[in-house]
Amino acid sequence: MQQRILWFSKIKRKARVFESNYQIDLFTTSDHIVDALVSDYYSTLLLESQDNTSECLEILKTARQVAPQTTRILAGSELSDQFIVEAVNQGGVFAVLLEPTPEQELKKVLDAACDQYRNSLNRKKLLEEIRVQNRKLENMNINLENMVLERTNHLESANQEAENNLAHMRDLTHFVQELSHLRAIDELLHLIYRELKHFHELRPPILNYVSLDSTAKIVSIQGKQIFEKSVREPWPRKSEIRINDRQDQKYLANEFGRPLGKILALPLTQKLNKNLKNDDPLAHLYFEHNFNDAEVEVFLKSTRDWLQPISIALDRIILEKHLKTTSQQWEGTFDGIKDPIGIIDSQYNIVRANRHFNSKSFEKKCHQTFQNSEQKCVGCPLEQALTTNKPTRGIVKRDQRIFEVYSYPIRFEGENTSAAVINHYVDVTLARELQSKVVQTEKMAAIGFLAGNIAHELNNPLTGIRSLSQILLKEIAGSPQSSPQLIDDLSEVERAAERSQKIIENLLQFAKGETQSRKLVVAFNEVIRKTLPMLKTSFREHRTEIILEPSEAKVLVEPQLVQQVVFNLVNNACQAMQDQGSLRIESKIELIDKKSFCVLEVHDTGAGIPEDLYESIFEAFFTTKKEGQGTGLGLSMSRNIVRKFGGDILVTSRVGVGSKFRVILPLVEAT
Amino acid sequence: MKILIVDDEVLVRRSLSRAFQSRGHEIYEAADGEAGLQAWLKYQPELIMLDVLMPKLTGPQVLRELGNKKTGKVILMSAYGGDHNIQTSLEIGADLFIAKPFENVFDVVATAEGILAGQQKE
Repeated sequence: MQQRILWFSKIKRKARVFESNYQIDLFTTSDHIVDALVSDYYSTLLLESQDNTSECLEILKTARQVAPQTTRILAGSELSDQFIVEAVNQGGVFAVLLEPTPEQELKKVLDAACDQYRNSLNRKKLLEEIRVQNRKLENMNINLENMVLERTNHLESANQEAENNLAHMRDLTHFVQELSHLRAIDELLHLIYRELKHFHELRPPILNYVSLDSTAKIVSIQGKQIFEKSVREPWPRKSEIRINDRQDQKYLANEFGRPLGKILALPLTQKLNKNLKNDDPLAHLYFEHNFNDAEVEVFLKSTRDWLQPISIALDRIILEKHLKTTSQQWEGTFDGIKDPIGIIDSQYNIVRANRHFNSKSFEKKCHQTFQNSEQKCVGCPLEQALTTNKPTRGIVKRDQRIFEVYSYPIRFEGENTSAAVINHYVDVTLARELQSKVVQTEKMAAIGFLAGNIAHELNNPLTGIRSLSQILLKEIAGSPQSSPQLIDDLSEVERAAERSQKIIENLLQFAKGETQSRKLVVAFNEVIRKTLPMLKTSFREHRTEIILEPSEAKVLVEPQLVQQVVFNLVNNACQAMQDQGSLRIESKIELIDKKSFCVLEVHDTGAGIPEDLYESIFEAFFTTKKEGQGTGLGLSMSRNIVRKFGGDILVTSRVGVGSKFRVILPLVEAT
Repeated sequence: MKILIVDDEVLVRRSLSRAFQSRGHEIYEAADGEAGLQAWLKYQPELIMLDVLMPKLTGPQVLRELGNKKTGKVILMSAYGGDHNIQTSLEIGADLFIAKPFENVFDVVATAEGILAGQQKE
């Protein structure tokens, strides 16, 4: 498009020259210049200066205002410097042409002016564009900022809510944690009250519930104290939160015997209580309060999540209390039993044990506890019971006491084989002693009966033999048939009969036993002497040496019983010697701990006794003899007898060499 | 004096017989309770040496059978004390109890003669 030039000039000719290049509107008067500039787009305003410079300056200034892009060129022949300065400064003149200006020059300036206009126009457009773009950007920016703000607000409020929720959850978790540590109902109430302390218009909670034995209870706290009582009147049975319910108020007022304020009733569930019937009342937490409606809302909101955990805690406390009572009952039962009883696993570990298992201390292993030994108890039936899976009996010893041990295999839930036993230890020491006494007494009674019969049968002929011998001896004395040999023979017959009588008498006395005897002061030697004839068959096979204390010291005993002791010891000694051995029976007086004792020693050259059996041989029913040879009662009875008279029996032995049994009895000083 | 000896042990009868005979007494013997009872009734002895445990009738049973037909003094003898002693012997009608075995047969004879002479001694 051709550039338009508004040419204000008086000389038309000059302008024509450029019409081929520009569209030139030539104005000869200044009247419409401004209007033209406003209405049309001119690249350049060429103003040929007139005489009236002020008018010219005015046009330039106006043009600058109304069409700032239009390049302004001032031309004139005699332009004062001041005017040029003013035109440049105030009129914003692009170029000043001093007339006459060669055409070439003019054209150059016009081209430059047009370029200037184009540039200016472009810049203006550009600026315009930039401004528009800027405005758009600004708008977008504002929108974005709004969006961010909105988002931020949203996030902030969400965050706040989350934080609140988190805090709530944290509180709840903390509360549940505290609930889980509770052991008693009063602790539960105290905890609830403490957690709700910030509600000032709230009184301590009241709880009613049904215990496992189906008694309805109501519990309240005042300060540190707890008040609990059974309730006969069932309370309102509704499983909903009730606010200021008249019925609740009336019920509690009846229970406490005082008027109560407004009541909040929160229902709890007791799920673990299997005894609960359908029509049983529900558990409730009651709060006496002085809230307004808004505060009730806040209160309910903050406690709503608590009801389930509280219900669970309540259930647990009731159940634990019940379990504790039940288990205490069992514990009491087992501890009340005097026999040691324990559950022992296959590794001899004590799972549980009652108090009498060992009152001093409980070790891990049963034998450590029961016997204070690192080895399992000799005779313990545990292993056999586990192998056979049947109740098994054994004999175990502890501190000179004998226990019958019963191992009952038990099976724990979910296991196929028995992994443990109940070990029941029964102290049979006394029973065994009694039993041994009974056996001994029966034995002696049988011997007595037999001896009595034999004695009668023998005494009759013996009486005849002896009497006849006496008569014959008398008749023959001084008779012519008499000879010393005959008299000697007859005397021998008489003495033999007498000796037989004595043996029978001894046997009878010996067999009478304890029942008819009483303590007598007798010569110890006498007791021994009376007993030995009955043992003649026993020591017939052995070399026998009898050395009796010459002083005939006395002891205070039941002679028949001590005879039994002597009999037993000598008989044992003889039986201990398989082949011909040597038996030595010796009595003497010894000073032991400054006291005088009569001592009987029976030495044999038998098999001997290992040292670890020294004690066992004195136990009832302990025997190494073959069946039929002994009951295992002899030594235990003997020791009992001797101890009864203040004495004792001791043994020293060497295996393969022989044994020595010593009976000591306190010496009775002759008075 | 007529003396009846009732005892199932032959040696006892024989020894007592000889001892009493040597003292000049008239002796009758019986080997069991029943024979003893017959002899008692038949001979009316002044002294009876009566054993306790015998076949057929025991000494105390013999005494009971006799009842008020009892004559003479009675010495009860026993080797097996059993239920009998001096006291119970007196209660069933005996005059003395002597435990067998005798220490000395002549002491027995002396005791018996003492009873016959009316001097009861224990």
